[in-house]
Amino acid sequence: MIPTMAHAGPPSALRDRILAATGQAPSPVRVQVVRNTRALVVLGMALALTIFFAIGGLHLGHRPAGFVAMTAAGWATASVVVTWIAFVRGPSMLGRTRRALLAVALLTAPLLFAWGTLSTVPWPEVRSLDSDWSNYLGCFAWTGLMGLAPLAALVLARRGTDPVHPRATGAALGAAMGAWAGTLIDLRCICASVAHMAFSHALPAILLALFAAIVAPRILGF
Amino acid sequence: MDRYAQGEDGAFGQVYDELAPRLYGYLLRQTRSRERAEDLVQQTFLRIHRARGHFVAGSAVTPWAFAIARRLLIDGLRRGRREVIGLDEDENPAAGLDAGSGRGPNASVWGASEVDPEAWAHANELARTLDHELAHLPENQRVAFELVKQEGLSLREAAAVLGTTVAAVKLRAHRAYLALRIALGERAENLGDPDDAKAEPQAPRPPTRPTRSTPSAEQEMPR
Repeated sequence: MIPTMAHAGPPSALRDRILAATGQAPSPVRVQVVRNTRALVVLGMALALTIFFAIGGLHLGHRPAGFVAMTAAGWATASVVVTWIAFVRGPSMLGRTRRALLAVALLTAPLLFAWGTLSTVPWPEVRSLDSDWSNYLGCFAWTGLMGLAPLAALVLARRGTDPVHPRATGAALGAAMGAWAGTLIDLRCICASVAHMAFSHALPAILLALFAAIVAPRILGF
Repeated sequence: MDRYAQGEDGAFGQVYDELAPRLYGYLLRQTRSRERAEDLVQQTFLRIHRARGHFVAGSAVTPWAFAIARRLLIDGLRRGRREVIGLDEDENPAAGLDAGSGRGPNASVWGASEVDPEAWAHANELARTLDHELAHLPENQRVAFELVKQEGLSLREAAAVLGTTVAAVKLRAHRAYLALRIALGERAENLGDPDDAKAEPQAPRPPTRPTRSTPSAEQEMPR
């Protein structure tokens, strides 16, 4: 047992003060939070899909349908997993461990790139489907934009809930939304070269993670 | 907390009663200022109130509350509101011991109005020495030791509060324990090695001189 400097408990006036303050400032209860979160998630997804269809929607070009399906299926699966890790807190109010969140933030883009590269093995001819730098930059910008909308929605949905590691949570959310954006852009981008996939489809996930790591702590933290 | 998150406003008083004494004790030890500790307790509960709708059903509220309190404490320190290291009589956390009871210090917690003055003086001196030595430990070791040994958080909960691993918390608390043992010598027999701490949540251990702020081991942790 530990001998420590003992102390009286908090004064009763403090209790009265806090109860009065909370009574005067109603806060959303769980049902409202769940409803708001759903609304924000739907809004974020809708914005991303609006951008996707505005720039042309699904487009195979010269890519085999099997290649597109394989890439998209792998990226979508990865997106679901990393989003679940980054956004769903699990059984604790303190959320995932920093290690898990950082793993999502750092490994998502390499994972997407690795899968994308692996998908070219059955169809090696797609590696020659390349384009100029304007297309690289265009894809890069659209991917970033499509990831930004749901990222903003999720960060807002989780605002003021992470007292321990908001930066890591933000970075993981950024990477996860970058993965979804990469999945969408891959459904319409006619280029399948390794360099294009790395720069325009996977790299935005890293940049979104970095961006969210900088911006999100102010919103996610207490 | 679950009921409060679902909208039962009346349950907040219960959440407060369960958490406030421990939070207050923790913050008082960190800040050495009653005023600051009260301010931080208030801010912590207001944050809990604001985020109640986000509360995950069935999760433990204690580590969350400690994490919020710690975050607010760190933010306050970063803003330049440095903790006061030197204690004067007015700010001495022990000064208010059993305030208002009209009896000797800790008479109520020892369950008798008659307190052996010699034992009290010895315990008091030991507690002061321990607090003094704790204050000189590296911050990460001190906090780990306090959360595990004084607040009764499990290693896993303390790790979650500090945003680190269970192994790191165990190591820090153990180092603090070793440093305290060396500093206190044979008087440190009752400290208890943090290596014995459990990974699962446990009721806070009553100190040698239990305080009014420490919930009894039988009390159920607020959820």
